[in-house]
Amino acid sequence: MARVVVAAALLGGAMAQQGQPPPIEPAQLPEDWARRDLEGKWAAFRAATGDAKADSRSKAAWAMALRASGDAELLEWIAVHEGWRHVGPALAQLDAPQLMRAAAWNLGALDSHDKDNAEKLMRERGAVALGWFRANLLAQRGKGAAIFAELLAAHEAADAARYLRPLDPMQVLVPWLDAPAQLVEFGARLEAEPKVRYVQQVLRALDGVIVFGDVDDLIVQKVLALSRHVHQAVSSAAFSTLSKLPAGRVPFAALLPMARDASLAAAKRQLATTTLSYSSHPAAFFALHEIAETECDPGRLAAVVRLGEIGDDTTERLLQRLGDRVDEETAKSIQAALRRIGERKHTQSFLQPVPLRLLLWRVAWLRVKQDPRAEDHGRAASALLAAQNARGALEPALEQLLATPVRDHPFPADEAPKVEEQLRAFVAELRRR
Amino acid sequence: MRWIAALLSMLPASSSLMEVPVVRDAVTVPYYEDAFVPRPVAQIAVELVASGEGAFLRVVVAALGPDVDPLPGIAGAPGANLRTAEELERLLREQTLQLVARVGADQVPGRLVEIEWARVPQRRIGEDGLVDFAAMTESPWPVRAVFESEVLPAGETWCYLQADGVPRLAVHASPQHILAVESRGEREAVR
Repeated sequence: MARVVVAAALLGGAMAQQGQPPPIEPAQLPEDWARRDLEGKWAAFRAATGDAKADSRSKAAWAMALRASGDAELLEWIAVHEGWRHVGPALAQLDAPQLMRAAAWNLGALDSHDKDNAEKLMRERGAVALGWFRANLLAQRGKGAAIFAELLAAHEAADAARYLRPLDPMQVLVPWLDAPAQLVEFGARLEAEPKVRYVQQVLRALDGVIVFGDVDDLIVQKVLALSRHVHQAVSSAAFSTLSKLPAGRVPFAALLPMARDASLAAAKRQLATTTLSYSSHPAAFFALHEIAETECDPGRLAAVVRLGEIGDDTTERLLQRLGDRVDEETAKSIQAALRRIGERKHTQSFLQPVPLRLLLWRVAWLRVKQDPRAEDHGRAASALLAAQNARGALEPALEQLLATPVRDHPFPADEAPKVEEQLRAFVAELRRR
Repeated sequence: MRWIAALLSMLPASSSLMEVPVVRDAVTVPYYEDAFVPRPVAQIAVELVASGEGAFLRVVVAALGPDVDPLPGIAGAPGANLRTAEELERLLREQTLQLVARVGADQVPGRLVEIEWARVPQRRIGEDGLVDFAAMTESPWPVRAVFESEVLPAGETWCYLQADGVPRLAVHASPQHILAVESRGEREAVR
């Protein structure tokens, strides 16, 4: 027995090595590669690797192959539409003319891996990055402002003439987001036909919205319009994109009528319900409760699942009240949601920055609106936070919340200050208890 | 049997190998991303393990955990972060994730002792337009990596989990207690 224990201890290290991820080998480009135009190459890339959410190892294998073949244009398309993390190093190794603008595009990426690694590249090539910013004044503002200021303080600008001018989202994204109802599948083509609009172009633009990150209302409205597109894949991708926006930008006010529209297909209503659940506006939260209570609503199960993930004590009360008055599938979902809320209370997740702010915003907003639910929600939030206050964890959480400015408000400009005032008043009440 | 004998012959003669390790102290904390509003994107479990030779640290990095925030949007399933699993995979593949103890002026590397692979929850919208809340990735990913330090010296020691040469997690410990665990992006040490 002792020998087995000893052997196992020694083998433990070796077994860890056996679990080691294998190296990634470059992908094999198709034989017809040279005959493909850029759309044709994009089609082959996506056919081989999947969409933007697919396995990043296959993306890495293609990045290696594209670096070896010198396909800088396609690498840029991947950086712009799927994210820097897949192909940034390959673009950097080529020192491609597209390098700086692809990195700048990713400075607002909603995925922090893309943003952080694009920033890292600019710091590593500080002198030429500064030269590029100097040559492109518009890039110095907005999402590029912080890194530009940092480079200005640390470097002398070097010649950046070899690098291309910044990309304009109005040219890169907007034309493809204005998609006609008739879209064509690219299929086995090698080249795009003139004046034909392809499904892959729209899907690519929808992915690019998230990488660009710094989206304005114009782009959000175009994505919202695509959520009603007749092509299922386009509609689904649009909902997916909307759900990934910063929580304050998810257009819940437009999604709620879709969730309730009896003329819409059940799947679209379920997707609209799921997507609006990612909004930080309290109205979205309360709408989910109504949908969860509504028998035969196609979004009901989705609402219950999501309420398990974002709900509070008032949600628990509702779900418990629904109790046995539901079908078996819904009953199982309700039990799972109640367990999830219980787990979140057990791990004190309500004191994490985001859930805490959402909980306090709900109370504050109800008070601003003089909503009759305000008192009940205030009491429930107060009791919940008192229960979460093991070892005095609440006070530092409140302090951190008050010290963190809000970048992503779901409230209109005239309402936001009133909500913040009510939030601070509620925090003062919590501190007095 | 010969290979077992060969392994045994390489061992120091010590009766301490027969002792069962005992966890003297343990802390589990979320690991926060470095962002304006940091989210917990991984779970870190630190144990101070007493064995016959002394005490060592066991640090477990996990992409799954009750407090782990998922990817944004529909694809993300709470309790799992696919991006963390992807990053773990890259760091382990490139062998740039290390546990290192600062002992005086020296950096004493620890060991990677276990990697757990599993499919990661990744919700998806099906071809029928319905959300599959129970979907998983097609392929497994490293979801948990376990590192162990060398035996800690007397007094207080700082151990760091380094990724690409940059400290991402700091553990302050003595052979008796875990004193603090700090992750990048966190405002205060946890303890």
